Amino acid sequence: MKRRNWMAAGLAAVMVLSLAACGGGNSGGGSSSGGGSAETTAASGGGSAETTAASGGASADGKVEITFWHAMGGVNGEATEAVVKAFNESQDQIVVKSEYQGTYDDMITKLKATMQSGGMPDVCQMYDIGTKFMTDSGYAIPVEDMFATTGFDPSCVMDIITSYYTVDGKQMSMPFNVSTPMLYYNKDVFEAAGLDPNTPPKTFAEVMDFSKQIVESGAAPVGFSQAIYGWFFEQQIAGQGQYYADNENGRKAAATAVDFDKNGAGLKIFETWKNLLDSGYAANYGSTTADTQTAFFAGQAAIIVESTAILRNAVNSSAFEVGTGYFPKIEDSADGGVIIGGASLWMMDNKDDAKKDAAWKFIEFTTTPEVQATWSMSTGYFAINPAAYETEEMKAFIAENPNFMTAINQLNDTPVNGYTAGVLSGVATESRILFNEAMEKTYNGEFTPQQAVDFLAESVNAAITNYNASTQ
Amino acid sequence: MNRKIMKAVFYALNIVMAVIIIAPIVYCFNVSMMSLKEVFAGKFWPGQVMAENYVRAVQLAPFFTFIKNSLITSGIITIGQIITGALAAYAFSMMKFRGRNVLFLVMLSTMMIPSQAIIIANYLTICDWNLKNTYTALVLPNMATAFAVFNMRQAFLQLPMEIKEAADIDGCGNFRFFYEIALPLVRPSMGALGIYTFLQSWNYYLWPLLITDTVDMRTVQIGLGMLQGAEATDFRPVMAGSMIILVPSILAFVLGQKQLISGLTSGSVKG
Repeated sequence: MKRRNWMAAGLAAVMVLSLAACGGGNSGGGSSSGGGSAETTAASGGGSAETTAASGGASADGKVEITFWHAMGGVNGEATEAVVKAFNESQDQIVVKSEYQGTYDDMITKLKATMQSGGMPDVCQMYDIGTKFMTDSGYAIPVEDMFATTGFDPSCVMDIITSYYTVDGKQMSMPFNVSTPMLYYNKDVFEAAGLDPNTPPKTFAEVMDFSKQIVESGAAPVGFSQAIYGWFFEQQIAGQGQYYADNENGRKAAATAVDFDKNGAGLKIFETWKNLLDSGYAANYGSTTADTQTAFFAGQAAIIVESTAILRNAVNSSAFEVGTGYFPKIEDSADGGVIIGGASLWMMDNKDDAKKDAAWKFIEFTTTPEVQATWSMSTGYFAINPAAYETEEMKAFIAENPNFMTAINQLNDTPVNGYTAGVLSGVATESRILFNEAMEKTYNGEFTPQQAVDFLAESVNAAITNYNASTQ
Repeated sequence: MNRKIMKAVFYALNIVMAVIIIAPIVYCFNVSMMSLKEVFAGKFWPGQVMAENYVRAVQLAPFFTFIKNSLITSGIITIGQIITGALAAYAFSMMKFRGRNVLFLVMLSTMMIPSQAIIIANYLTICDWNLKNTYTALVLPNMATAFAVFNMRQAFLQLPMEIKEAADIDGCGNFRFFYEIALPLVRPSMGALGIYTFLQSWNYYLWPLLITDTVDMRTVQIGLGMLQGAEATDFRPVMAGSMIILVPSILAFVLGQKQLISGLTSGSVKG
């Protein structure tokens, strides 16, 4: 009896609590937007103050502990952890705690939340297209601010790589994982089709001819394929030596509108790709890059364009000999070239000088030739410091993987200018989604190439206007 | 004769459906046994049995820690939702009080709010309470849901009102009635809710990712994320990881289903 009473009392308590919770939750649910955001604003001040207090620079044993967020999974995640470990073992003043935070998109969501609540990392990896957001957020310390006081020589990093992360003439972040697109082809199929297996196509006109020969000879069911991916569109605009957006790709001042509709670059791209698909010698496997990769690895599609970073995976996955070539051009241009992609390391402003210095020391460490050589060999990304290619290990690695040389040569051959710096846009993610829609509708005949360009320009312009209004 | 044919047709359809549902899991298992070139050679069956991809998966992400964390959080969330759901549902179905229907409707309306819309607000609240990176943070926002209350309320409404009236006449109070009479009768519903809640919380990704920072607090779905690269992914460890984390959820289903069936038989009431 006694026990039952106790039980009943317990249940009663739970019930009251749960009802209260439900009630609270409900009324909160109805009005949470108001209450929530008020709390947010209030918390943002207090939160960051708390962070500073809690962090307090050095820990008990005199070491400075900093947090590093990254979005590297799989093999790349392992390599990232190895860099952190090497840094922690290289000195005894700083401890870097690395934390995997999901995909780039997950990480940016979480970062935005910590900007309000406190608890930002000290070093944060951020993808290429997050550059404008990070700059505008006001929470980042430009890495260039550290160069003079620490005697860092910025020329040790390739200009073509830093140009992407340079805003208003100032380098904002340190490139970390760098890749460009390039062309992959199936050498066995080339041979079977009577093509020279050592001569990849250089232009889309050649891609068309080669694909025709491959399909008609029956060497492979599909000649060429590429994922529907806004990155390739941006690359082809740079390839033509044109701007994606005004104000020199948004790098002289914030972009106010796209330029690809006015300079004709956009139309040429849509027309070329649409013609290629309509010829029947190319195939479209959709917007998931892994699907196009699979078609290539499986020997179905003979030529694809993909990131240089998949080279190792491509060689290991394919039962045939993989060849590589420069990213094919829509139209040749002396000023054109590829844009680097990937991600960079940002220093976040936690208002703590000890942490700031520690964060920079870590970033500086990642640029050293030895670290870059190991990083590049284990991931397939470029070494940002060309001195890395002079190390013995790297020389041996390239000798064993001649395809890697294609990527390096392509990058070295790319002129450093406003076109190849790529567009700096606060709405890059949105623009790429809009591009997918425009491309899909062009492929299935809903849009003519001209309509696609108009639709894309109009929608991206609206997004840019919206973004600019929100940041002023 | 006709009935036999019908039965045969149903069985055939059942088998077809079962194959459709099981095929991806079989393929997932097969890929977890393949070499990289086999995956893209278009084969369905692997050429060998090997543990290499499982070893690789566990190397890349500490799955046993993640499974432990997921079991703890999913277990607590499941029990929590059943308790809060059953208690609130009992009140909403068996007790009469002012504003009952309004309160119930308001609660139901919270189901219309997408969880992504309030996830940042929840995150800020949890940070404010200094609960980041704890089990409490992982389970707290999921301890009570409108769906659980709705689900349990439907179950209680199925009970004949006469039982409650008889209990009232015999002087059986609300808690005793709830615990000793009503609850055993709705056991199948509790089982169903339990399975649903467990599987759903097993699959949580964004919330655990936001609210935890260290590897030792993370859950299984983040583990799968850790196996995937930004540009290219070796799918074999991903499939191996999927197989590893599939086991507990299948177990949960088997256990819950047992509960569901035993609940059905023990719940039989005399007219």
